[in-house]
Amino acid sequence: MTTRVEQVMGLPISLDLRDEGDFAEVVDEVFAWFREVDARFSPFKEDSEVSRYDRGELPAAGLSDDLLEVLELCAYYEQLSGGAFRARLPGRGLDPCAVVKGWAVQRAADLLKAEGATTFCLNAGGDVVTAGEPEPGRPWRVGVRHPEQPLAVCAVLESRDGAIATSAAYERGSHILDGRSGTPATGLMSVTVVAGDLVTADALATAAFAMGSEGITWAADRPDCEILIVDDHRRVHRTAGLALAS
Amino acid sequence: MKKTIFVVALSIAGFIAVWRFEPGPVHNTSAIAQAPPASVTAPSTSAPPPTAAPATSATPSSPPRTSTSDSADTTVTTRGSAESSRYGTVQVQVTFTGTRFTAITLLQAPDSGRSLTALPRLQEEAMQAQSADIDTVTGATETSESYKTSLQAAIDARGNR
Repeated sequence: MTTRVEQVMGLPISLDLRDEGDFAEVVDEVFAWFREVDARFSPFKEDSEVSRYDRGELPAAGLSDDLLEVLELCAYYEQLSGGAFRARLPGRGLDPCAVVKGWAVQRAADLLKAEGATTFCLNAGGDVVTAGEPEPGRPWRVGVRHPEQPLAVCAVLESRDGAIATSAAYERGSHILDGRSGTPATGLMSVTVVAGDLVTADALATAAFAMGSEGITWAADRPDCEILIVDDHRRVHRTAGLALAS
Repeated sequence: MKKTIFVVALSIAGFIAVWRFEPGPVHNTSAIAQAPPASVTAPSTSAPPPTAAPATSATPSSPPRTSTSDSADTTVTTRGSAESSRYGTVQVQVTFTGTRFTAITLLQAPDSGRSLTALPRLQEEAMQAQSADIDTVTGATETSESYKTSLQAAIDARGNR
């Protein structure tokens, strides 16, 4: 059993690994990966790969496979969301953070699994990947933070080998912009998406939040996810397949 | 306690009025609202009816809701039969707590393959989940300052003991 909490990529990242044995080395690798992602993909670091690419300093042949993958994901979700999700807003630099976070954390979870870990919960700033079950027959119980009360939850979800992401404006104010208008997203208090992987969950949660109230049906109509959305009128919208803990 | 049996019949027209009252149109309910009144009948409290309940679509009767009033707080979920209209198939599920409805689920809607529940409001009383009850928290925890006072921090502290 290993637990570790570090502040990386501007996020508190918690790993709760329940497997027996010595996983110290792979856990070191996981957190080293997060630091590497921060160095390479942060738009706030001048010498990051993303910043250099954005300034046109990287030749087309010089782009790493990782950066190409991130750019492709950004383009995919931009198209899927009709432009509500946008990595490059007019007048602003490239900011692929919304995709990078889910992508990097999912990659870390895959690394843990490749090294033999079977039972863990990895939480990066409230975005969660689970593997296995903490106890035989019992799934991981994931509380959904109440949008108005920091120490309360408004639902508890069950998760096995899945991913859950939440987008909301209750922490940093209206920082998620609707890419179609360039103005802060309105209409929703929090969007929680459950999916098979965190790339999907995180990108859909961000895109749905950016879309505002249209994002409710938009996300519900995606076949590969379940949703729990609290709108500005404090109504809760959820899909029937959502695994609520009893 | 004796099992409560609800028999609920709601006309689609009446239901749509309720559905559209406060919530914004989650689905394309405008199309449904124009549908000819059909009745949604919930014959029992559990499984969906095997076949369509008698479709009294021409004459929606007033909802004959009967209940044994042995408990005001009993939660009962009823599921209407799937009714087809020229706009597509519509089926709803209604949850009552006591005599008040607390949730409506559109199980089948003409314009969407997914069913979506709209609870009237976020529970006023948040679930007082102790950190012992959950393994982790999903939410927008984006700064080190907010993390320090978060439920997730309490859970992490428990793990590190």
